Amino acid sequence: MDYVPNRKQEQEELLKAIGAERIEQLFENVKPQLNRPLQLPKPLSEWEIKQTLEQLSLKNTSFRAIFRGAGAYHHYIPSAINQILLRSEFYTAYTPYQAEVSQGTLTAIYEFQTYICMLTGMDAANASMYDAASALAETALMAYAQNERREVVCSNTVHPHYVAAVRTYCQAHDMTIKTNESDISDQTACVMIQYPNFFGEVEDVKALAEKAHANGALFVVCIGDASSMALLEPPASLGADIVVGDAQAFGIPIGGGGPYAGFLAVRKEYIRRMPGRLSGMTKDDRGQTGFILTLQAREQHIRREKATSNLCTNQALMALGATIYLSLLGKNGLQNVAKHSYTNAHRFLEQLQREGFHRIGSAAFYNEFRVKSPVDVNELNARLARIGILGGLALPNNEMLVCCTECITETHMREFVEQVRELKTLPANATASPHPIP
Amino acid sequence: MKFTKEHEWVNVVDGMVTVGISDFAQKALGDVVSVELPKVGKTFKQGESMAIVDSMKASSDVYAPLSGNIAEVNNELVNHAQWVNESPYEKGWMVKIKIADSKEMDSLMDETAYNEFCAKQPAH
Repeated sequence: MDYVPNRKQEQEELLKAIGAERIEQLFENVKPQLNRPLQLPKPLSEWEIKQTLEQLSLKNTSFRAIFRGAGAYHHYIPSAINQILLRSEFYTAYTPYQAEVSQGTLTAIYEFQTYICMLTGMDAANASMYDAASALAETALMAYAQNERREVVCSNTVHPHYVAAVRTYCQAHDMTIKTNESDISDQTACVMIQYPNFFGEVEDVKALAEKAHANGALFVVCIGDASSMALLEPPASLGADIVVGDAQAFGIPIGGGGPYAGFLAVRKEYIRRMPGRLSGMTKDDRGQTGFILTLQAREQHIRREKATSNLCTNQALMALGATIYLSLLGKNGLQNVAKHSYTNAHRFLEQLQREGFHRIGSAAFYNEFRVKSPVDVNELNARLARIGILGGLALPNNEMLVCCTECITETHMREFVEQVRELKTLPANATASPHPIP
Repeated sequence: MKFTKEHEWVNVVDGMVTVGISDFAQKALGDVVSVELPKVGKTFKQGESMAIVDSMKASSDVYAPLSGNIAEVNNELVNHAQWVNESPYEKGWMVKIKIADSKEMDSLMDETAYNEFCAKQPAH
């Protein structure tokens, strides 16, 4: 993009053209509590900024092994991804508004959609969403638009952060959320389940789908660790009408909550209900294959307040990262990732059980499981952190949600177990640690 | 046959009106690719959005020309959206409304008035 100067002279020309005297006039309708100068620090020189940022970066902790999932999964990221992703042609967050000019971007989006369809078994996927949470929340509104019902039944094994997002979207539409299977009725707009669920378990999705459909509700499946799709039965054949999830597991680094890329895929009959954008393949007037943004008629730049969604966009760059990841690994590669993750988790559970951990639940699981710990979970995590290992997610009642990906080695497992054993040999309360618990 | 300023047509028979969109409207929209109709039994006030017509370039509301209750919808049209273009006054009918207040009829235009109204519209 060209540099557009914004000097006093240009500002005055712009103001004159729209008939305003001062820039502040444009913001007079902003609520008074927001209409104030921002409390920002003074400008710094390059050297000063570098100093400041370096100081800040010293507060970071990085771990060499990660036993924590709970929505963000530490899979290996091949170096080739950044090599391609950071090319200047791609390195912008947005698809251009004159989208068809950028055939490369639209091709990449089309590939992303195709991968998501192959993995989920669904008919169509969009160009991506912010993340799994917002993708899931959008499905409540899709269901409401479809059947005009205002109750959402969301399983209580869905990630609590996702449920919070669903709640936020629903309250603006006077929709209520229920959590029990017995709440499914002819008032239910949609039924939501996570697969594998927040605790890593693979629930009986099919039975719930049948119950949802018998009541005329849509059935929404939210994928847990997306790599599980290489191993598990695709949600489409389990009765899903809409499938959402996070593409983070596909080569996107685990940051402080993002940026990730959500995905949303549907059965054919719900294509027009999909929020966001869709890249489609077509032929131009010379018969050459090309790509266009299609089914835009209900998007926000055309239908304004009546659009299917006014709070979504695609995460083109992150979706491209996922696309590169999937193309590099291929079908066998992704299956290997999934198999190693699965095997590691099952092997580690056995090791933990020998140390006195008890598994909560008995359903089949993928790469994450919930255990009751024989030692204090916060103490354990603090000890692990000191040797560069991020332990599982501490849950109430001294339980822990433990995740293993293909990046966990036998050595990491042994180190974890050693910390458990050391902690067991110490007398109670002798280890209270002042170290901050991550 | 009567018309609204929003380019719906209505045809009244014994307190029951059939509704569609006019030839002028279908031409302005271009190729219609999808039609979303309301459920039978739903009640609308005059001027409320009751259906959506998607063309290649836009998604447009169809407004209830008169207050009343949806008595019947053209379910065939959902699978043959092109009928809105091909046959706007016959196969392209959308809903039948049992009207609540026949006085509202006075607010509609007859064909002559509607043609004059369309002539004044900016070209699409």
